[in-house]
Amino acid sequence: MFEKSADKYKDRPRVIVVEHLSKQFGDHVVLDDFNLSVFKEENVVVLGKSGSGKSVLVKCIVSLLKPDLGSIFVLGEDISTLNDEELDALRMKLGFLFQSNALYDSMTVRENLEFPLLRYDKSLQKSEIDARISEALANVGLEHTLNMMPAELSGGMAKRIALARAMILKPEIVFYDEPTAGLDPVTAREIDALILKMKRKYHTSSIIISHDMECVKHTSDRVILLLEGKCYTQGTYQELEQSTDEKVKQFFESEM
Amino acid sequence: MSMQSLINGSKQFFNETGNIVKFSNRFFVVGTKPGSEFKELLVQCYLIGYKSLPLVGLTGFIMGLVLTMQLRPSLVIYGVESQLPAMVGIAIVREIGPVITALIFAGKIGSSIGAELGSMRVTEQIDAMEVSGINPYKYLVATRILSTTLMLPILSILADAISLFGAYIGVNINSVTSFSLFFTQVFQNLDFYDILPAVIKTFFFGFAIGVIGCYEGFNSKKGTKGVGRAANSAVVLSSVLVFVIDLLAVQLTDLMGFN
Ligand SMILES: Nc1ncnc2c1ncn2[C@@H]1O[C@H](COP(=O)(O)OP(=O)(O)O)[C@@H](O)[C@H]1O
Ligand SMILES: [Mg+2]
Repeated sequence: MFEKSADKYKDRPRVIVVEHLSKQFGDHVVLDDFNLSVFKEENVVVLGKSGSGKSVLVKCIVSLLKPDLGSIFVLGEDISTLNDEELDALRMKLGFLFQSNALYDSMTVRENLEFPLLRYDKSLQKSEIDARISEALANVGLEHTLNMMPAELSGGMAKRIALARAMILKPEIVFYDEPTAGLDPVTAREIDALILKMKRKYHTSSIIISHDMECVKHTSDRVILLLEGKCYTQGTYQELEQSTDEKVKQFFESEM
Repeated sequence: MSMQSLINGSKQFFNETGNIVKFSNRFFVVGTKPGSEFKELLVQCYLIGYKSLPLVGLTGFIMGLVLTMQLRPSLVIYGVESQLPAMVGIAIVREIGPVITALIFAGKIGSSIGAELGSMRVTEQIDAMEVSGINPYKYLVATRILSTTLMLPILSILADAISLFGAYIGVNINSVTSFSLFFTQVFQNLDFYDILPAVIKTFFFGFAIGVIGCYEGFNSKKGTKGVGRAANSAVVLSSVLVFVIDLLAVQLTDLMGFN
């Protein structure tokens, strides 16, 4: 099934390879021998119930959590072998949109965007920084929020700013943790469109975590169903939609 | 069962202590590379030091005044009222000034660092820094620990001065003493070895308060309860540590013959 569904992408290089990943907290097994590959410029959606370990999975991939077992390769590098500086250098090529947005609430929108930029390249001129910030804000259509504080933004606006920040270093891989959760349907579809736009414009590969089926439908090239710590099945949205498996059908029937 | 809980309790205590020591050791690895987050250091010195001035000044003033008024009756009984400035001076400079300032500082700054970093932890802001290739320990923790370590000694010297001024007013409630006579009497009885250990220990107080506040916030548990607990344990633990360090300091200066 995997070969068929990944047709379009399977000849491309793999940007993320996760092998035999296991992670537990105390006695609670969250991930159990989980495997995953993401190909270049592919949008992979990880679908799963809440609490099934989706966030833990992506946090392991960006090394915010240490796996108990298994290996993780990101852009060809085995992340467990990297020292702090190498890891930071790799992370500059990754963007992460947190479920809670995680905007720095003591900083203005501008400072939020500037923060990674200034540390990424100390030789950047002010005019270049301004240009990068304007571009990032224009991408999400929020140029006028430049001097606002995160607390003044609505949920949808905060999500867009967080997306702009995730994209500010023009990453090769972007992780979206529940990008549409808690948004009204109209705003949620706008976020879907932005995810697709970023992929087209910057040729990013992504892992999108979601259980919003509309979002999955619009943004996915391939869907992976995470169940009981394992990859239960995978395929395109259409393939999974037609599945007769009870456990797969659940996701399409109930508005979760 | 009580034996078991005692064992568990002490295990937890030593675990926690070990973690705090490890946490503060990172400061000497990361925090001593200068320059990299200099701007944030200045901002923190302003927030932690300058912004604490009114509170520290007010408590210092009241402390000096009250201490003087409380001491006088006993001295009058023994007929040594004239020793009042000398006694208050020693009490303030050697003990009360540094310790009370440190406790006020622990309450104000320890809790605010604990709550700030705690809420940054639970809202994933610290994770966000980390994944964008910024070392949150360097940016958030090292700058705050350095600020508390540098600012508390300055604040406590200022508190000493204001406190002595309070004492001067206290002396003048019952008798008239000139400003210069009062301070001559204070400083005649204070020598370098009274002042030096008192200043040195405030660096350790400041370091301890910064480390504990950052540690509790950085390791805060999820949820609003976690943030509250981080702020609370930051204050309690760092206040206790202030007393422990004070005890060690007095033993040490004793051993070194500074008394
Ligand atoms: N740092 C942690 N410590 C202990 N348990 C955790 C931690 N992070 C996640 N978990 C647990 O792992 C499970 C999966 O969490 P998560 O990946 O956040 O779920 P979701 O699929 O909704 O994103 C949950 O049961 C959660 O309680
Ligand atoms: Mg999650």
